[in-house]
Amino acid sequence: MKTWTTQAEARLEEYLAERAQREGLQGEDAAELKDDMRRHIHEEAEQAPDVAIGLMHLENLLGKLDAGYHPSVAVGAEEPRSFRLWRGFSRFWAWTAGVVLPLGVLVFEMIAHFCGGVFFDPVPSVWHALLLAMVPGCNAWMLCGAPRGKDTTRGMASGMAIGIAGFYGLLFLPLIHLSVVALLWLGMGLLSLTPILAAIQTWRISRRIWKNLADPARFIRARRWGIAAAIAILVLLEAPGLWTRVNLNAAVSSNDPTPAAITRLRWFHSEKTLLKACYQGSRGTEFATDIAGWMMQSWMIPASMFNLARLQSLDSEKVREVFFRVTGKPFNSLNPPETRLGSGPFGRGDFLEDVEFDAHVGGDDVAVRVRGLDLAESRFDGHLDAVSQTGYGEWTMVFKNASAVQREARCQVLLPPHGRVSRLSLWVDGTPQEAAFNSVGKVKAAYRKVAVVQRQDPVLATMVGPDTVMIQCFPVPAQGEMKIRFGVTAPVTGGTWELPRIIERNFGTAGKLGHALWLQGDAAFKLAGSEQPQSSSTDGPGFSLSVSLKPEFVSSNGISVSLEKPTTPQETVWCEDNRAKPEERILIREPQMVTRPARPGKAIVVIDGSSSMASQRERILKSVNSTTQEETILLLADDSARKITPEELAAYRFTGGRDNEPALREAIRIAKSNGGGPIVWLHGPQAVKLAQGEELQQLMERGTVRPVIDECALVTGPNRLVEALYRSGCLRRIADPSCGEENLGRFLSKLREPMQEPGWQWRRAATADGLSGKKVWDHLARVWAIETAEDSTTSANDETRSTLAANYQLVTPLSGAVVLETQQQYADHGLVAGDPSASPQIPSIPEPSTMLLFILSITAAAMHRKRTV
Amino acid sequence: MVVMPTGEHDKGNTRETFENWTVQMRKGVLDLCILKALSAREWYGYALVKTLVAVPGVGVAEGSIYPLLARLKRQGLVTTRLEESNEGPARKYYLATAEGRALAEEMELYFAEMLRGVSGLQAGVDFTLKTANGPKPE
Repeated sequence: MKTWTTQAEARLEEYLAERAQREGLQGEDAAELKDDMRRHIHEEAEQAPDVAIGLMHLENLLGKLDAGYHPSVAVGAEEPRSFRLWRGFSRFWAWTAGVVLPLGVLVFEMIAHFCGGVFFDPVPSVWHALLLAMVPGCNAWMLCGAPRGKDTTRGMASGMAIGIAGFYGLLFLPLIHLSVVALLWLGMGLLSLTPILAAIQTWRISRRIWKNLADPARFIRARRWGIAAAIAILVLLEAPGLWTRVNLNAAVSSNDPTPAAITRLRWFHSEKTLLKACYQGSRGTEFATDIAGWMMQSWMIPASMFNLARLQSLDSEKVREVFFRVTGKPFNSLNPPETRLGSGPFGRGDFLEDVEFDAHVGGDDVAVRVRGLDLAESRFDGHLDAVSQTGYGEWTMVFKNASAVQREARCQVLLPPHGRVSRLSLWVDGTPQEAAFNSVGKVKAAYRKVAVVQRQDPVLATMVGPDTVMIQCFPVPAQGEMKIRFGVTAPVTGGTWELPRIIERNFGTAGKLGHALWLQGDAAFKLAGSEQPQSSSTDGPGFSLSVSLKPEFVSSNGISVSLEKPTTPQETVWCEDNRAKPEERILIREPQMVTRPARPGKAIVVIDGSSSMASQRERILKSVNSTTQEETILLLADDSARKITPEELAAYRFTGGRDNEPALREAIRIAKSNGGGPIVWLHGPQAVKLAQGEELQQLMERGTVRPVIDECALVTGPNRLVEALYRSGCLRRIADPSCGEENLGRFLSKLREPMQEPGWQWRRAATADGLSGKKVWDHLARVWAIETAEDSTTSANDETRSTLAANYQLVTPLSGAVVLETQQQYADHGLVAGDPSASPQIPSIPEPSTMLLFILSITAAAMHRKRTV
Repeated sequence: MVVMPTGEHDKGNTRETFENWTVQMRKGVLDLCILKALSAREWYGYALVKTLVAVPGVGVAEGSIYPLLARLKRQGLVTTRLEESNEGPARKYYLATAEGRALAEEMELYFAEMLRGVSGLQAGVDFTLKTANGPKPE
């Protein structure tokens, strides 16, 4: 093909436009005429011997084509300087705004995440990056004349570029006034202005090439397809997020606990978008969101300037509630969304990390996952005493904070049944400091003062649910570590001792974390619930087991230690209780059969309908099938209370996070009306606070029949319902095996009838003289203290029970533990630091090597004697 | 006052009259030429224009044919298709539709009838007689 000079090209377009106007044509008709005539002139030009077609040649061609044609400019005359300057500037600007700036801003944003950290993340995925890179790429190709491309390809590419650039231009349009002001006054603002400029320039470049093409009609058709394709891709990428945002806004703004928006979100949602929205308020800004979130809110920026709208931030608590109701997972059970704040010389990660706001420091909630904070090391040492049927274990945790600010580590730990924290230590300057035990009010006040106000090192342990403690420590220093330890005393129930596990946390787990387990005992035992069941081996006079578990086992359900020969506590045991009066120094526990009253009436089994329970369906069905329909009512907790049959349960689809409160209320009403039949509640996490808490409390507190709910968590996780109800005394935690599979039927039938159960009674003596029982460790005294301090049937008031629990170093519903940094801090808050010598310890057993040496010595002595004989 | 000789004045008028007449003629016949050409076979635009321009008596500028083609296309008398070419820009091919072909036939018959009429006048045929033998006006 011939090469055309720029002037000739421009003149041809000018003539064609004038000719179309002369013929009175517009739109597609004009385009078609220009197309036909351009093609004709190009054909004519191809016949010419010249290599290049200049203005002169074109004028000749036009003269032949059009009778009475008069050249509009003098052929051969040089273009005016101003025209040349304008043309040069136009070309320079096309390259700048259409190629250089978009490409530069894309690369800058990908490195620095400048916009992502403040307004919204424009490049959330590699697909977005590729789409955005297409704009400068396509523009550069067009500006070079789109070589080696057919008109269809050119049109398609141009359309795609227009579609993408237009979309991003519109996204940044609400910032145009701020961008212009920033550009004029501060020299900034080009970043947010570039997408708008690029959108305009992309359109201009497309128009320019379209005019010069041999087949503009085909180009235009292809361009329409290109725009449609770009819109389709953007819809594909952004529709899930937008759908989620629209429904999330509807759900958050509604007072209905189960609005239609939640149902729609359960049908389809983007978990990533929901999680992003959960953390959106953590920086104290409505923005720093995703594209969908920006589309929902950005228009309010200019509108708010004219008082047409008011910027509204999402209520984080409500968003987190929606997250649970939709996904069935507590939002903080997942890693927080990536901040994408950038790194290196352009990054602003540290700055924005600093302003990330943890509103729950020193509070009662575990709340948001904190970035950069991890459980770096975890160690559990436990001892099982088969004689006293008591276990004691110490969990040592090392937290590592990789962020630039101090952090508070918070977690809820589920203890073994009837277990209580009996030791709490914090390492200060490499030395473990023991906790002061006192009333909950005092220890919390001390913690808040020292941690939140003075920003020094305390650790706090308080009870938040049945056998559940909240551990919180502050500050884990920036780029530093904090080491804590807490001890747990708990009876061995039915020969099994469940290991404590984290059910909610605001920290992650380090990549190489291993949960180091050391278990020992005076009888053989085995570990169940880990990857493979493992048995203890002989270790001196006792038994031990050492194993390193994967990080997920710190919060895994059902890891337990079982005595290989479980026995009921048949024999009398005693211990020396140093905290008692001299005349009561010896504490004796004697076996005794206890009569448990019957709970007549139909048993009600409340089954959580949340998605987390889907994995437990078979197990629940087996459990339910072990009961009879005449004696059991099945209530499905699916935001309502629905009576169902096992067949309906088998067909039920577990979705979202279901509110169990209505079903529990209904269960209590039924139980009250039929004389107090047992209620068993099989559930997963319930990460939503009570909607009608008072109504539920009222049902539990009033009337002659006081219901008892036996709750069994089949899936580990936080449970706000349990937290709210456990202090009423109507909630009883039952161990997993009691409600698992065929045991449920047996368990329920046992509840309906009065039963003689092995139990024990306590008595005290001044001396051990004449006692027939075995002497055991002093954890027996703690077990006694737990029972006594939490026995609501006694006449002791809360203060007495709190003092008793604190005296035995126990964290109970009325007492807590706190470790402070200095003696002065203890004194200021009326606390006494714990005595390390009085704190419980893991008993030592002879090392195998010692035993081996002993055996070798005996053997050597025997051999020597034989020889001498 | 200058008075032009009568003969020169008449000659100028005659020329102008002729030119006006040919313009009208060309306008009328050009549609017929295009439709006849496109009824016979498919043409690509450039070749069609060159051929039409070469037809004796047609004598129109090349650029005038494209608006006519566009109009015929709009009227549904002509269809087009594009075909990629190795020698230059894509070629646009034109072909008369069935309607266009029928119209061409009709126009040709009319034109032939008209020519016969003109020739008949020269031969002294009295067309009124023919009309008189025909159906009488009401």
